[in-house]
Amino acid sequence: MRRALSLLLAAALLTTISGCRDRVDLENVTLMLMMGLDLDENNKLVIYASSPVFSKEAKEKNEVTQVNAETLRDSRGKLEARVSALISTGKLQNILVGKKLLQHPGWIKLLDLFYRDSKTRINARLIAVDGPVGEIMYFAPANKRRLSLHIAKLVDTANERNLVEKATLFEFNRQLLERGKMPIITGLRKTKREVVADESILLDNSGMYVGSLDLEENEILQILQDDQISDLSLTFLLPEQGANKDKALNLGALSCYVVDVKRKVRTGYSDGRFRFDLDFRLPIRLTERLFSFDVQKDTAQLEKQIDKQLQAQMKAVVDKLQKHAVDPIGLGLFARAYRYRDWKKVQDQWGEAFKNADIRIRVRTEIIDMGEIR
Amino acid sequence: MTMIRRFLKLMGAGGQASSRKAKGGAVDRHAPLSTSLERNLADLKRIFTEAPDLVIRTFPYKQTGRRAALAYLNGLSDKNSINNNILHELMQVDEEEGTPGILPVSIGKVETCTSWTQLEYAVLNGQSLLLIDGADRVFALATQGWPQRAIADSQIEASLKGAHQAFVETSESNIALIRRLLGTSELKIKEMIVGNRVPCKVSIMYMEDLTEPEFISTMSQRIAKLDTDCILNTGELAEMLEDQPFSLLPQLITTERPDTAASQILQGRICVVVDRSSSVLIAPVNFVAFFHGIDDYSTRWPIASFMRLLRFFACFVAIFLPGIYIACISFNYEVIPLDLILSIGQFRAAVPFPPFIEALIMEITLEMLREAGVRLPAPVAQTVGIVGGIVIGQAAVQAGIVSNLMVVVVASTAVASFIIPNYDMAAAIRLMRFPIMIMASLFGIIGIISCFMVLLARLISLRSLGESYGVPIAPLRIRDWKDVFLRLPLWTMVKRPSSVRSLQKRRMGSSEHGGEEG
Amino acid sequence: MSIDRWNPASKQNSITTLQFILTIHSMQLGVAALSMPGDLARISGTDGWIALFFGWMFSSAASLIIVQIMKAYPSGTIIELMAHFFGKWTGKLTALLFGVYMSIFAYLILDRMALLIQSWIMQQSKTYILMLLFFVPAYTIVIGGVRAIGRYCEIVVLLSLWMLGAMLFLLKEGNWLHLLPVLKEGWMPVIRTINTTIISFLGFESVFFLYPHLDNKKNASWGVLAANTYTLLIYLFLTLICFLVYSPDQISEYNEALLTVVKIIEFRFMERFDIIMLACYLLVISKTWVPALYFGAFSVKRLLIVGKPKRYAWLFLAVMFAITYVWDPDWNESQNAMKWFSRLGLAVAYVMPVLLWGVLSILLRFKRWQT
Repeated sequence: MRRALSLLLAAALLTTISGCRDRVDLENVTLMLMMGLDLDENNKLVIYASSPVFSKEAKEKNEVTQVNAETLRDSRGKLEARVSALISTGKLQNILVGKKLLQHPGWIKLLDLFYRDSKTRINARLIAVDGPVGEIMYFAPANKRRLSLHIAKLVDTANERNLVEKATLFEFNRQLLERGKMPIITGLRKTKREVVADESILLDNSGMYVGSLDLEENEILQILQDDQISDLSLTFLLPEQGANKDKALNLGALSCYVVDVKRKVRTGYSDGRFRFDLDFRLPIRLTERLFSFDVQKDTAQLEKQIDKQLQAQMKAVVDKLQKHAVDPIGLGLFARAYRYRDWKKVQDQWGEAFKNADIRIRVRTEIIDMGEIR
Repeated sequence: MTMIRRFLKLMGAGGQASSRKAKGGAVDRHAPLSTSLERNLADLKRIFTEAPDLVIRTFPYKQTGRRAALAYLNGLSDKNSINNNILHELMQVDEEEGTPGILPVSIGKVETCTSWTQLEYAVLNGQSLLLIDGADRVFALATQGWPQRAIADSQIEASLKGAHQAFVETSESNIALIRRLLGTSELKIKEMIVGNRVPCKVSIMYMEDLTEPEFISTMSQRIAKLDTDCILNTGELAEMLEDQPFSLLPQLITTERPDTAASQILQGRICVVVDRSSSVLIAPVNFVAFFHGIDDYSTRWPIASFMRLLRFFACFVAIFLPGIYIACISFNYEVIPLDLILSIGQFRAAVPFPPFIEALIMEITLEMLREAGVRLPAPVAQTVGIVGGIVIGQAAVQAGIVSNLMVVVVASTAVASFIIPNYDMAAAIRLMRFPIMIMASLFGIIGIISCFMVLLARLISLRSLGESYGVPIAPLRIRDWKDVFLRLPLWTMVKRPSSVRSLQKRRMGSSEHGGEEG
Repeated sequence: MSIDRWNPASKQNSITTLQFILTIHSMQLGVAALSMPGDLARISGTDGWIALFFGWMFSSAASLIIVQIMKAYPSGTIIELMAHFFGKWTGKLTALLFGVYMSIFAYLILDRMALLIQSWIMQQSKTYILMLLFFVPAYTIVIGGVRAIGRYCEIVVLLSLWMLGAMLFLLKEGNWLHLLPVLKEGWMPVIRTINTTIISFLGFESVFFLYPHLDNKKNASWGVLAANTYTLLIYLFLTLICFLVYSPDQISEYNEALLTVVKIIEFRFMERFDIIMLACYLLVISKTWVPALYFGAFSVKRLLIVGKPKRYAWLFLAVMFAITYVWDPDWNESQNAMKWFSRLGLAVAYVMPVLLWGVLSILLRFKRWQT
């Protein structure tokens, strides 16, 4: 009896004094799905916010706002003064960062809010934009769903096909603070009719823009990283099979799926230089062959031709990375794991050490399947 | 608690006093019977005043030539046996045929009564009284034959493959039903009488070589302590016997099925049969037992296991789903997947009420529908179901009173609570979700967790007949888990559940009768 | 009906060996696990996990010593033991010491739990209201005595096993290279971390109170070992998961590294797993402070003798509420108080048993020699 009474009393107490200030009903929340950070013409920070509108009366189902602000948190009040309800970053999908901003040292400090505020979704995708961010934020193609969701899907699927790199806020933070690896994030640009995700942006360890990789280069990078997510499709032009003879049709082409990547890394150090031997073994499956060839009989010959091509492509990518002195492959991790003493000397300038490193690549492909026809 | 007890006692005492006054005056019920037939009959008539159904037939007792009288209550006795087996014999059989000193009636059970209390009880029980002039005792002949329902299938505990016999309202029949299933002399029955004004026979049934004697003594002590006017129903008895009457959770199982009762007795529990009630009590029980049905043992084990898991899942859904919905909409919307949240947002934007009120409206409507369905005859109840389910649900959404998802939530909660096999437990669970909804609307997911902790704390501190209610989960008895969330093949359950503390642990794998100590 | 649930000598209040193990384990695993990966990494980088083994060794040794002490007077708690061997007033002093120690233990963890909720889920709610939410279950369990506590720990451990499974989803994000090279800076940093790990095993001192309740006293020694080992395994698992997922320099940036890392788990049917995880982890935390609360109230009851257990339970909860209402410690104060308390913990759980054991064994030998 007394227990029941005291329970009642406690319940009454709770209801009266709590005031439930944390309670925000879903319809009173503006879920920010996409956020844009850019610099305007006067080099002032602009924050864009794109969020869905729930009301049936609204014609457009998406609202986009922009404000000038000092920091992200500073922008929230200004944004809330403009959007229909209270802003929440709990469902944030994409953060678009203008290339202009990427070239400013210290821009990464702006992201502090996302890491400090426990409500923010840490799996939001960080995307670099080639060109003004505003153009994409206000872009509303009629044949696509809400752009924020479209971009999210676009980046995810492109990443799944190994076309671009994808970095969530957490992943970005992890790479940024990893001395042995440089961050690489998705690059996005807008053409007249659509948004295209076909670049990966290389950043250095302070988050500064360094360069970019295109689709093919990124595919090669995925092999180098041993990080391919699903089947990786490669197309080679084999000079031995008469590639580039005909201007219109290139009949020396061959495409294949890389079924698996088996990477072996040997780390060495001599004469003040790191040396990495990367051995790759790739089981591949032919998907397209425009020239006639007896695969059954001369497998080794064809494999050798592919190896040569692939090795050259990989070398080119590594050379490019070395030129920029960034290491998105993560070779620094190997250096730390296996050559700790030597690593310690260069750990704060890994980019430079990587640039001077001697990186040797050996590729051995292995045709395991030639498809339905011979 | 103490206050209420005191209050109850006062009430009881008052009732007794008034009843004594009403009866008082005429007959001293503890006085010995007279030897004169006239005086006895007069006394009998004075006890049963205003009782037109009391039949008194006087006739000469042929064997001795003395006068005798037969008294019985009209509706409660079987006229056939009175006419053929008593009156006929007594009036026709004469000295030569009968053996002197032995009552020449062809009735199985003949008791002799020496006090008016016994007489009164016997008549009210449908027995016929044979009063003979000059004798200081009265014979009570077992001629019970009150209107009785035929043994049919249970409505509330329907079973697909189990037996289709349910208890009826007579304890003799009910005991017989259990005896039919447990044909062993180890099955013992302890009879007790409860009720001051209207005595009611209560029989405790148990297996002598299995059941922990402590259970029997606790149970009989508790029954003996009862000080009440009358018990009409097993539910009333259960409420008075419960360890913690303020708890929402039922602590004793009442069942209408003889096979359920038998299987529980076989595990070492005790069963209390209450006369005039069509269900029996099982004690001690634990929380998980409420989720077991007799069908679990008559279907094959993978299917039975799946059903059990389904029930526990349903229990979780029925308790927490509305609360989780409220918490997710009002506090922790981050948890909902993005695509879902966008569509919920659109539905919710059209609803003018906060989620809690929205949920409350629908839950209360649902409870009303259910109650309406119970009260109405079956064909009309179906109509109510359709009107309620489809019309109100659909119309409420279109009218913008509740959102689509809320209807889904409420409907699945309702279905989930129907799955739970025990009615008492299902009812408790239905009630439990309201406080959880309130807490969820105040504190979101933290409120739900807090409620969950309260539930856990109650679960481990509750007792049923002094035994822990949370067994075999807490205290943990892994060996009993064969028959808790899953129902493993029967041949794996070589031993009885240790949580019942039965005297013989083994129920299989021993050639000796009844198993051996394990 | 009126069984004294707080009487350690009563057979009605005995607990099984499993309950004994899990109660000790429960008091060890609590809020510390959330920040531990970060704390270890801040001192010794990715080698911090090695130090856990040393923490385990020390705590196991100390708890075995405690069991040895308790064997001298198996039917009573440490309070009765002290009163038996050193007189009534020493008993009172012990009751006071443990009353204070356990109450602070319970309060600091309850407060930390409220702070965690506040910073992760309910930013705008008052700490004391969040505390209040857990008073009703705590009260029910505490008045149920050790048996209720044992069962509660049992059921919560069962209910929280899935969380370990969920953590396995993180393995595919991990990189084993983070752990290499092992002992990169030698043993020194590891040794410096031992202090932190020793503290995170605090809680085994509950053996002082649990021992008389154990139904089979023969199992006490391997019981405490099992409890410590189980705690070690969980700590090791959680720490390694964090070390694998975070990059070595990143982990020290986060306060509750374990919670942050859970944020990256997402399912199609449920996102923001950290909220669910934290909410369920509250159950795990609650089984740390609820036993401590009981031990505190029990000690004070032994000190004052009068009154029913219920009164003490209410009184303790009310005082906790009042302290938070008045003082309302913030994160820094909570952090500092914990640091201060851990020193007391070292004294009570590690130093005191060793000294007491020494004194007792001399005393017992002397007695035997005398008779």
